[in-house]
Amino acid sequence: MTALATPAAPADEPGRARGAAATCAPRHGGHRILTGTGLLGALVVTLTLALIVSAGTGQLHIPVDEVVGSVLHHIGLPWGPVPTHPRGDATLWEVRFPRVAMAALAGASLATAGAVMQGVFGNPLAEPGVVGVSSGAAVAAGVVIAFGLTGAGVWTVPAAAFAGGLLSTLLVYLLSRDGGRTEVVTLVLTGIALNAMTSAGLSFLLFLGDQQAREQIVFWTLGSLNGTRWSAVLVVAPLAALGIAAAILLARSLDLLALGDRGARHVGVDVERLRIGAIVVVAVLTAAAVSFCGIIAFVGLVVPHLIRLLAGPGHLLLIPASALGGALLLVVADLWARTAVANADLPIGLLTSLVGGPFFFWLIRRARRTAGGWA
Amino acid sequence: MTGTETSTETSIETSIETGATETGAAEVGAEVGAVISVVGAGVRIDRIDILDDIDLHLAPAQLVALVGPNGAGKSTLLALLAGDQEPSSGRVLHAGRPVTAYGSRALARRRAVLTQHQGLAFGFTVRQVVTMGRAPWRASDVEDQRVVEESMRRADVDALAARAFPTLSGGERARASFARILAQTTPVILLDEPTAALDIRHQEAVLATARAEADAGALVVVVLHDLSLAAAYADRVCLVSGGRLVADGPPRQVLRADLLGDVYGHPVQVIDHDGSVVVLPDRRHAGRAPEQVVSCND
Repeated sequence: MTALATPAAPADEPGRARGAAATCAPRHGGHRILTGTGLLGALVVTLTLALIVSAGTGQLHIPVDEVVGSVLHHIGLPWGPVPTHPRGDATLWEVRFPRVAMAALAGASLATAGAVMQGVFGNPLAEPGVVGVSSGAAVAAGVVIAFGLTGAGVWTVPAAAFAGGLLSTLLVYLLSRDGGRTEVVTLVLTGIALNAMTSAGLSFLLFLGDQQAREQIVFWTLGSLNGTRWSAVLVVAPLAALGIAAAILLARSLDLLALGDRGARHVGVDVERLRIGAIVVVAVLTAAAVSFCGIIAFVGLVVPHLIRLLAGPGHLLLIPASALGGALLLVVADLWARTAVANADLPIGLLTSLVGGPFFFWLIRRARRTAGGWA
Repeated sequence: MTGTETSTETSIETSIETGATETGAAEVGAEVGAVISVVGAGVRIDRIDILDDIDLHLAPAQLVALVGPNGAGKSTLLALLAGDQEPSSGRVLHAGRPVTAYGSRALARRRAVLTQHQGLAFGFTVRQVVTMGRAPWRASDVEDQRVVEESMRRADVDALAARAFPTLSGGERARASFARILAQTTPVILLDEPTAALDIRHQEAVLATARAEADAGALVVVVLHDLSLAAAYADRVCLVSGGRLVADGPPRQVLRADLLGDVYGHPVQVIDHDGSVVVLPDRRHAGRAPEQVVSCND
């Protein structure tokens, strides 16, 4: 949990956080770019360390050097020690690696989806979990599970999640938008209404489904990475990569959208096209995360917000940094979920909500104080 | 005013610089040489005529003031000129082509718009906001930076460059947004009440800068409430009332006590003071009907 607490600490003092981030940069000229590369570099290093440590930790402990050695051996470089435990290598490659990879992918997808959603709504409280897009995707995927549909093989659940996510994003967008802007209150209330509808939908599916489907649906609403397989990782990875790449392409236009719909149009943004693009990106990324991990809320709220405090609101840096930060957050949260209680695997969605809920409160109060904080 | 004499020369320059060729000038109704032509345009929203049968031909190198009472349709007319609002009837032509035929980037290279309220969703700095004005262009970073610095200096916001936009006061925001409009370097500049939140010094500075843009060849259209400012800076004043263009001409011709008293429903004094026209509400006869207005031209 330490890595989660560290970035949260400077949040109380944006001024100091910004100063600290700038110290590694020269006074003049390209200081923003250097701060940006510095931040991305630091996130990459921290994420790599977190992945290695997380992969080595569990009921069967594997030292860091053996984890690294095992990876190197697998990619054809016979350097470093291999796991000494007879089942060490198998544990790493069959259980741990797919799980940490999935944590990183889901975290990156959710944080990027949050950043894009906040940009397109012009509202810092937009997040797939909060406004009900995640649960919309979960209901659609739940239908597939409860009725045992397998039309598109391993892609059936992600496809359904994408459709559900797209539909609920569109719904939230249309319902919460009025006169070219989204009021905070309208957005949050729309989220409450949508979440109420989707939880009713999930309950209905629980009622309909058989024992096995029930368990699977319950595990979803809690959000968990338990039992992740490579086959799932291979489905999620391209979706996440596609979504994040598309989000980076939208970055410059999202910056201009901060001027409002009309202002963005005045400086040459095709607002309608941008909006449709952004909504599809959010749906792809949410589907990537929800398909196999269930509902993990608040990642998309917390991470982009912290990155904005550290590096400013420019989306060209915000989006890749959020992707890395989200990956880091979920890898660490998953490590905690697996190790906090001996021989138990806490649902990860529970943990992120536990931390994200208070953060949400703080964000609401802060935004109320600074009148200029909203769109 | 100086702008009118030089208009022919500068209009040619402007059209060469901006690539606004006269290819579409054959469009029926477009006046030759006009940057923007509004031809019999009306805007009807919820079965109410916001604007009705507007004919307006705007030439380059002019500062045009749009004046009129609250709810007269000034902002809607500006939105029509900007291409934000599609006319329900009639047409709006930019350089002879219908405004709807332009892509959003092409239009952004023709006109910059300062709206009444300047909101910003995130805490971008003033410099970043001004740089957003460069978005429609594909200039080099050096060129962009030069234009941004110059625009910030002209709008007197260079000292605020590193401040977060949402933390600025209303007047500072208006000036920072004005700097963004200057950075867009368009031949048409549309300003909706740019002076509303400004102190006297900055009111004069913003209008003097707008005047300089017009003298350099731009068409500048400004919605103004302060009629004395309109008289001092505009080449041409368009008086809008009840969705119609009721008067259109040089300031002295339009800003007449009888006409203004009628349109605003309040008696008005028009005074010639040291060679400039000053318009004041007539408070000497509070409660008197507009017909009884006394014109006071010394």
